[in-house]
Amino acid sequence: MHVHDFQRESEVSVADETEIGLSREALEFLRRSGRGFLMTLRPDGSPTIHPMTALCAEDRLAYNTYRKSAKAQNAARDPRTCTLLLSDYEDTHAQALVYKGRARALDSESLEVSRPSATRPTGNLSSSVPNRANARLREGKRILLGIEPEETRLLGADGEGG
Amino acid sequence: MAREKIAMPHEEVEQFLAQQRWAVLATLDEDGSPWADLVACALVNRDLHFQVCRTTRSHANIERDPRVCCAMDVFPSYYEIKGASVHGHARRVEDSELCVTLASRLADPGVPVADPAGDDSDLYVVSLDDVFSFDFGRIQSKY
Repeated sequence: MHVHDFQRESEVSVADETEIGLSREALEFLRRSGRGFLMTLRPDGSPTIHPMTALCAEDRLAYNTYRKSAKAQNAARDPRTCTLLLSDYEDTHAQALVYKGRARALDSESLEVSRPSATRPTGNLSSSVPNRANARLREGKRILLGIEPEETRLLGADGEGG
Repeated sequence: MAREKIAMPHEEVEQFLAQQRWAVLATLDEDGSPWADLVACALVNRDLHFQVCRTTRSHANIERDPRVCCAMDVFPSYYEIKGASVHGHARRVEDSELCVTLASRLADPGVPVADPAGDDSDLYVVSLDDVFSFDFGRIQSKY
């Protein structure tokens, strides 16, 4: 797995719609957004939300999570998910992206995974935290969960909500 | 190694929720899959209240199946991350006095919501009986 700064690729032009059906606006929002609220289904079918860092893998939404986590187990049982994406960790936001799709475990060794170009406050966090997460991924304790898009909607672009 | 317990006590959850102006709302589409939205919210009378525009898919979802989840988090820095996910059945708020109280609390949440003025919206309440919370300040093994 290779993790790199996506800022360098932020000016890469894409077609109006990607081959996996994402609009250009949705893809650009996905590339710069790191604040994800992943929704999965509990065993009884009720919804739950997992706030976590959103990644981008092969132009798809992705998450790095523990294999035994509730979110990974929920997604394995029922892969239907939805995510509310925000670009940063400020208190106010002009736009958000709803990204609905099915989750599947990705082969992290063969993927390029991008961190969002938007910055996030790290405080006294040392670089060992993301390094440890990537090490756990290589060890198989964590998995890369990719979300195959089925439907996206930008909130705020034209004053609309969901 | 067992994962550390970093949940907030209920009193701290209430304090945290009382400071939040907006939440991410999860509802269920007709086929049972989740759908996402942003809503204005306020903690009043120790219950979480939120506003949903009547023309939205989220509103239609709640009216068909009231099972919802509302999530909020803050991230001043890594070890100050706090968040909560509130699960429950949304009930429509019918108390007109409470609706007036909520109207001022729910104005201008700072995120793109449909019908921010609340003229074409319904108010819902969910109790804090089923809450998952986390506070990274409780992590003992800091790196």
